[in-house]
Amino acid sequence: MNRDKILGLSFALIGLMMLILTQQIHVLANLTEPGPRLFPRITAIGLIVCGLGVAFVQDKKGEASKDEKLNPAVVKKIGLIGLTLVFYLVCLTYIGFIISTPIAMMCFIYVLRNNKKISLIKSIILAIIVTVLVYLLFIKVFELQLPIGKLF
Amino acid sequence: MFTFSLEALHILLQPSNFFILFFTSFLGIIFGAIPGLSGGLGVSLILPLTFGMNQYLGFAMLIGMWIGGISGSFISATLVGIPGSASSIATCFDAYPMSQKGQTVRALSIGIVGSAIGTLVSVIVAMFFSPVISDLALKLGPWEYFSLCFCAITLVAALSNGSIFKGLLGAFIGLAISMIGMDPVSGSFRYIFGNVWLSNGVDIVAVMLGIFAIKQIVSDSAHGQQDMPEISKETMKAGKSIRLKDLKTNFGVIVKSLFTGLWIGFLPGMGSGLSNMVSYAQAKAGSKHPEKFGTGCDEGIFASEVANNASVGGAIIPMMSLGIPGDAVTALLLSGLMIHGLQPGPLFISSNPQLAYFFFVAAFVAAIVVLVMEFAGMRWFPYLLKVPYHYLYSSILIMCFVGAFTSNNTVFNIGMMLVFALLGIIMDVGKIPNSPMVLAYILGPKLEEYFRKGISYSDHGISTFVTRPVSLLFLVIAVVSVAWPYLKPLLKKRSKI
Repeated sequence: MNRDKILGLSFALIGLMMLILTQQIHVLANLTEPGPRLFPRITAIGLIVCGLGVAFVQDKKGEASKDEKLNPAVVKKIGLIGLTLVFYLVCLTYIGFIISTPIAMMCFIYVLRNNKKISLIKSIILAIIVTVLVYLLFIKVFELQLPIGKLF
Repeated sequence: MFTFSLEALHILLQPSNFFILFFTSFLGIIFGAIPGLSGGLGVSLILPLTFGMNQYLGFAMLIGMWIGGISGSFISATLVGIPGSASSIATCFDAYPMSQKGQTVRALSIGIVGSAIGTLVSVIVAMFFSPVISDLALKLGPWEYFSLCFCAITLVAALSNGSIFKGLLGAFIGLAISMIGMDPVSGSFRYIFGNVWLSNGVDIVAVMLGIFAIKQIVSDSAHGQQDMPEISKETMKAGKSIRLKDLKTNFGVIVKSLFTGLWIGFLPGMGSGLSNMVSYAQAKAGSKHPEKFGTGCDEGIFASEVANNASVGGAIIPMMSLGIPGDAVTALLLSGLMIHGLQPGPLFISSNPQLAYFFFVAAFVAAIVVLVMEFAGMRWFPYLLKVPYHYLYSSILIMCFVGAFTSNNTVFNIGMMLVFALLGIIMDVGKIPNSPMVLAYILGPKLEEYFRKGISYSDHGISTFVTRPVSLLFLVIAVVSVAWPYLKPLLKKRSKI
């Protein structure tokens, strides 16, 4: 099964689920217009039709849909970066901005360095500088809030 | 118009507003110059910062970043043959060979002047045309607005790369996202699954940061960011700068590129990424010496840089007059307007004339500021390309997280940003274009509102959409744009017979 088929069928399935869920949308009585269910239904049908089109219809613009294989190294890298992003999100939720940001920054630098040698001291200094600058900018200058963390 | 422009200039020249425009123009040049970043990414990053600011300061910031970003992308295209963003792909074809021949200063100065001409002239055109189109648009009803929004979305889907199904799938994904939250007419909740954070819909900042910033960084890093080659000081001194004579010699190319950039910028969802390529191809086709293109000729650089910057003015026209974004960055600017409680659309210029003309004046002044900065700072351009990507991207990721949080003070919004980054990556893998998605997401609520109002205001129901001539025209354009890939071969066969 090629990539277009997997994606197309997945979006068609999402469209089908959307269509079924439109039944749960509350409609006011005595409406003189189509109501809140119409557009979700149209969108859901659009997703189903286009999803099936992507899965089964060859590109009419003359380009055959090539099934380039995904580079496993790239997929692994995306997964690793994604995990780091989720890690930062969890840290922000529980321990707040000030503690989690320098740690996350160090993790990002490590993950994004592409096997280059990096100076630990420079990375620590940069992580602290970025944390302090962002804190001062948002809290003192713009007077906006930053995550405090549920544990504090 | 003149009075409002002068008032807007007076507001812009207040020290805080001018300073922020100056500073963000400078930042914009940096974002534009570094491959992998762009003015659009810069705008999406600083958008949350504008929440606590007054409108003029906020928009001066956004416009400075935008203009600097579009203009700055030619720098790496010229020095290392790698475009700073998609808006300068065609610039590489001649600017880099010219630099390789020892004419670096000439190549850079043509890029700087071409960029300035494109922005300055197109903004003036936008300033004149936007009120005219607004006045025309006020005579339209919900039927015409629906058809216009529908036409805009289908045009973007049809003109994007790849199959028409993928373009339309992108549009329907955007529409689906826009359905989450409260229905725009009756207030019913849809697809919130009991989650109170979704009752106001998906936050636009989370969508934009996820799709534009996080996805781009993750994708570039995973594919391995290229190291920039060293550029010597001698290279930066090589060649003579542009003269007035060069502008006269290339006048025809400049004017054609201006029109190309204006028109493509005007088309919803299109922008500088397309205009530079189209303009380059046209200039080459119309040139007396097409063989010189690709070897380092002035015409090639002018064609690309004038067109990509002329898209700025072109994109401003539908944004200001109709509330429809001309490209991805104007979609961000529109969201900035909505965040500040303003309603974009045909009434925007008449209801907020000072702010509307502030946009034009700020873009004009930013172009001049960028022109001066780039000429003055030319010798330091190579240093822009030396910033290590792992430090730069790490800092930008932190800004993204903070920006998503400050948009509505919830960590949930950061989670949504990551979800949209994942969606953006999946769409990239499947070669599903994200321009239709972004446009449909922005226009989705309006599309639905106009459709339902059109039905309830009319005694003839849905047929009113096709009996009103302007509405019918937009619908026909929409249908033809989708059907054209299938109609074209049929028409060719008939003409051969």
